[in-house]
Amino acid sequence: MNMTRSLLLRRTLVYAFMICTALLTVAPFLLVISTSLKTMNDINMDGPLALPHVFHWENYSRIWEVGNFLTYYKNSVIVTVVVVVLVVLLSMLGAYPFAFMKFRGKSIFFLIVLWGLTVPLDLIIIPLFNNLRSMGLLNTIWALILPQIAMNIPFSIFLLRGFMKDIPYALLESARIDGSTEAKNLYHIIMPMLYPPMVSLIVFTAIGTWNNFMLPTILIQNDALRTLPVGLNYFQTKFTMDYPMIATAAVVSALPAALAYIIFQRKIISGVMVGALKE
Amino acid sequence: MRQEAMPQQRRTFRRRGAEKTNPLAYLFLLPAFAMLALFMIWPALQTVYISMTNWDGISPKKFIGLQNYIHLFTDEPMFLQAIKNTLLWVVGGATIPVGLGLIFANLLVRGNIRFTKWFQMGFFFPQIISSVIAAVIWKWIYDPSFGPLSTILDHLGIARPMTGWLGNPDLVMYALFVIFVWGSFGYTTMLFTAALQSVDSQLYDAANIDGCSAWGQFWNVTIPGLRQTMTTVIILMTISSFSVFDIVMATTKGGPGYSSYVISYYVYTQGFIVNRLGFAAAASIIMTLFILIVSRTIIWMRERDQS
Repeated sequence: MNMTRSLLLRRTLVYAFMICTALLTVAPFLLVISTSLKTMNDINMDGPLALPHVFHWENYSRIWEVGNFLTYYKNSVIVTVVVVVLVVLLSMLGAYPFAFMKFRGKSIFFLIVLWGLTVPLDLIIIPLFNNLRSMGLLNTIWALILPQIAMNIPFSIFLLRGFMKDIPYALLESARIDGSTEAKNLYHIIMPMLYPPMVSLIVFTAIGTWNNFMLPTILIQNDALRTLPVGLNYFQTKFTMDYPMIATAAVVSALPAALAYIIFQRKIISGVMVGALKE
Repeated sequence: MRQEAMPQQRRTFRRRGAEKTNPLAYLFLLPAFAMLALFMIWPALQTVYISMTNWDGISPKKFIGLQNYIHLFTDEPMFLQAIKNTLLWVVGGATIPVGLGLIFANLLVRGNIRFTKWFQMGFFFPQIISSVIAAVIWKWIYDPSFGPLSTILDHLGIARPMTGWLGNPDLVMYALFVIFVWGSFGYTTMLFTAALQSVDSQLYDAANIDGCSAWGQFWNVTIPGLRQTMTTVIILMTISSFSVFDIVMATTKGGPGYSSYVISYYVYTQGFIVNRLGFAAAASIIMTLFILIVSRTIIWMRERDQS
């Protein structure tokens, strides 16, 4: 009896603790959603915690007029899609020789990949800015796309190579004896077996590119080319005191990622984990 | 995790040696390595050179040796503050979210909790959102006149700093670090949960029979079982702590004064606002060296533990 009671008490405590933490974690989002449906008057009168009396949905139609969020969406989508597609393509090609082919200088090439894993953007951003300027790419969408492809390649090659090496070598050997070419091997034998790491790679690269802030902040000065995080930051400096509008902007900016998370929840979670824990 | 590939790599070599080169390999590598060369390797080398010049971005570069580095450490309080803040952030970032992740993963897996998936989803949500959105939200939460935090504390009758948390030079780094913890503990929880689920449950049964308390099980079964994952998570957190930029840029811009400067933000302002590119380059190299040294040390410590 005593035993079960203390057990019950402990379970209740654990649940209470977990629920409180979960609520605290989600609370900022709920507060922001509530604020996005108020006016500045409501906030002045009732404080920031009160629920809105009337839902001011018009904030959500006004936001498109005062901020260029549609443009920011469009840019973020373009940059993310192009970066993900090219990273997948280039790193698949790049990982294949590391896993299955013999060539001179393999260790040096692989050292470069390992080096690339720990390079922070800070180390390359200063010359990058000037190089892009002299190439005439500064303030174009390519200034966002090309460097981000490069920065994602080391991790992607590393990840895919790790998974490719788990594929039995005999499979390739027999295909080679049958006279298949390397390109065909990659396409017909290897690619179909890489489904889990591919999902992971796409999720990782997409989240990273979608949320990247430092690179576009530095390389883009033109409002028509801003991506979502940069656009939101620009917007908040323009509307410093208009909290409902900033809240609306935050909700509108979070929406695509939040929707993607809700829809692809399991894929995203397992993708992020495989990416982080492989080797 | 990443660096571990090295020993494995050596093994590959012995097995398949480079006795016959397949020229096709280079064709496969070409696109990826062309991108790397153009947008990473070459700029990194340029940075090394720029860090030894007094370049302002326009006039020709003049080689001045290691003067920038010396100046940074002796005569640049803003940079020293940035280093101090970053190192504190790294120490906190490599421990607090890791500890919280361990605790929550343990409760989720060993506590026989239901709705695990829902809790995880809630904890993990801030990680999905860009840190700029998080910063914008928290800037408002911390607002001294219109923010929810001030309102709550006033209701409870708890004293609070009048300038707010982000306006107070002594508190600003802690306030920013809270945003980081809020955004990252769900991630560490998630990683540890996955690792814990693969720890052999018979070990726990055995510990139970031996009369091992829950606390003892945590220390004697859970922690040893998670060693590998812990190193990985600590390195991931260390690297992301070193390169903190978004949170500072979108909230305080290094202020008040320069009390919330971090290295990354220092590189940004020196390189792109005040155009002291030599300093910025030197600072970025110091930062890269820090990352290398710290992550290497963690790996070395683990390898020493294992043998």
